[in-house]
Amino acid sequence: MRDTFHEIFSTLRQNKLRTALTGFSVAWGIFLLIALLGAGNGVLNALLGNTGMMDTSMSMSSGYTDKAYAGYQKGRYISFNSKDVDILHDESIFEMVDDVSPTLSQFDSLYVGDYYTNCYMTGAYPVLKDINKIEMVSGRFLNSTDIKENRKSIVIGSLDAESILGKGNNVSSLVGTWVRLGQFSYKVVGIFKSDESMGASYATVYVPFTTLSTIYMKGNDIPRILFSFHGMETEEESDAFEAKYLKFVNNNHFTAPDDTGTVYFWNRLQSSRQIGKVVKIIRTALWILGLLCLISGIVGISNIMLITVKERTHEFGIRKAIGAKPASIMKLIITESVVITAFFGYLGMILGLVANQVMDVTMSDKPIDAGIAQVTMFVNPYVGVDVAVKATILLIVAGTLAGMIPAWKASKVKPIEALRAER
Amino acid sequence: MLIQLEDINKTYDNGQPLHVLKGVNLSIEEGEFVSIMGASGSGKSTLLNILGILDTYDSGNYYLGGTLIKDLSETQAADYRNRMIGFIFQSYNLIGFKTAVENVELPLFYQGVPRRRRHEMAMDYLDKLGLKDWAGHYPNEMSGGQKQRVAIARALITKPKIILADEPTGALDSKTSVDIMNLLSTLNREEKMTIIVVTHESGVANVTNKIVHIRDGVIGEIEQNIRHDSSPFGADGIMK
Repeated sequence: MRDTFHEIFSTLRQNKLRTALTGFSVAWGIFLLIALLGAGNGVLNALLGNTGMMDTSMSMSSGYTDKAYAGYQKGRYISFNSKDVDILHDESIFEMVDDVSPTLSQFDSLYVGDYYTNCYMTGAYPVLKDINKIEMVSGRFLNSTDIKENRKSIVIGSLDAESILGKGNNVSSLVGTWVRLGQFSYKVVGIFKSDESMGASYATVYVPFTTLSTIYMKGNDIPRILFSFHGMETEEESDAFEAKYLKFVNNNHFTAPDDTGTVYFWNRLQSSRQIGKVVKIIRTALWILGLLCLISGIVGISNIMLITVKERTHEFGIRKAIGAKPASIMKLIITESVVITAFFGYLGMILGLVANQVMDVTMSDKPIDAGIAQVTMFVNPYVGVDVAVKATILLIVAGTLAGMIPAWKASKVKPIEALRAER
Repeated sequence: MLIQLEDINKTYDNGQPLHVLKGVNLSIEEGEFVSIMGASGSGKSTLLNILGILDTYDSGNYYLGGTLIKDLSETQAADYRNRMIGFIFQSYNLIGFKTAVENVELPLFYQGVPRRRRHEMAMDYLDKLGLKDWAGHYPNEMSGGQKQRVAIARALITKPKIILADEPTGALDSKTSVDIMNLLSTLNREEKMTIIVVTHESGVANVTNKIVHIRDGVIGEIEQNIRHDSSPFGADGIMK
């Protein structure tokens, strides 16, 4: 092996310019591949970060009837009631449902000292923390006592807490203090981590369901139910669940059995799966583009190897005359091709990774102000180790392929013809 | 009998068939120093290429050291060339980007001899041919005579059964030509090396012990030349 490398380096040294040009075409191909995939990952990471991938939860809102039925006009507003909630807890009917939280919402004004803001309140049950995967920064989420005693407890988002206290202050100092929401004072029990991609001009807070229902006189109104589930991975299962639940609700509220307007379903798993499909398509497209760049590099090296073989025909004739077997000539050329692609490919890969680093420093995590929301368009523009390994394997395969045809040609030339060839 | 040719025929077909060898019969014993003489187009180079397994023949039989050399795969042919035959060419055919010692080592490389061992052997042979100080030089830094001596060292290093020399003095001046022919003569005499020289120069042929004349693809007269007086210029060396 050492001898083979020695052979290769002495020929490469002979043709420095040619080696450099060949190397450039390979390095450029891999560089573009890595840079492209890195940039693509940057955009995709930002996209996935903004949507919260793989949430196995579902939101259902009550709506208006589409059909006249049993003497009722169409367009009648339907609100969920306790029966609609309780049925979800029945494991014999809806086995896949885990946690269920009816929710209410209400806008009001939030005052903290001189600070004032509009506020979107969600009346929730403690399980909503698990359903919505709410992360606590400080304090606690709502608990069952809050619900039972209609306590005026409030959980505030970390971004809103920052705006209340001013930048640089520790948001946890807000826990245990009192704030005014509409006509009443609430005790701050916790701070949750705000979804930074969903910038809004109002504050977002959670209060106990029962408290909100009582204060704003919602009666038995339940406009929205959130729940988490397990299984239900395919679209068919999801559709089957929706049909079953819709049938129950329609029966419960005297609406037409085939009325689809009464419940709006929003399945986060399904929507994230659809995003996943799009992401997959984009990824594939990026790979194809990258591979096309790489192919130009491979064609480049193949071309150069063909010229090399032609130039070295006489030398191969000498080698054959003194005992080189066709296989050893082939090995010489293929190894040369692999060494060039591997070395310059590695160089290109390193440069590509450096380019990703540059992208990260200059563009990543810089939110773009899109009107009301601050949207991060670029996060972690890196390619993984798996991609680097794949690229390396690809390189070696490419090098072998690029050397194959020229090597085969060289090994086939008869020694007597090779010796006659011009030098 | 080291070499035995029985009714060898060879036709080149480049548009128009050209019958180059028309039934060649020739035997060469071990330890002989033979020259094959003929004008250009007589078929002497074709004959040498067949002897060197660089080219194939159409009909007949060629035995080298008792082995029938016929319908060999390129891999087998390479192996036989490597172990049994040493080549000396008119244009030296050294590899330009390799030093003298690397060129001499090359046949051993294809035999799979370890690096250190083949380097030692190559240095020995260069030393024998008086080129030890030139071992690290590239061919383009050497004179014609030196290059040919490197080529001879390369031909000898595998201890082949025969040395085939195709116009070994064709690119050399007369003094160097004499030196090279004397070197081959010494190798034959002292190492009992079988040497076949193809030439069109009578002075070169005169150094050898046996002269085979070839004319229009058939073997003509075979002269015994032990006294080295076949050439009118023989006694005084090689005329250019």
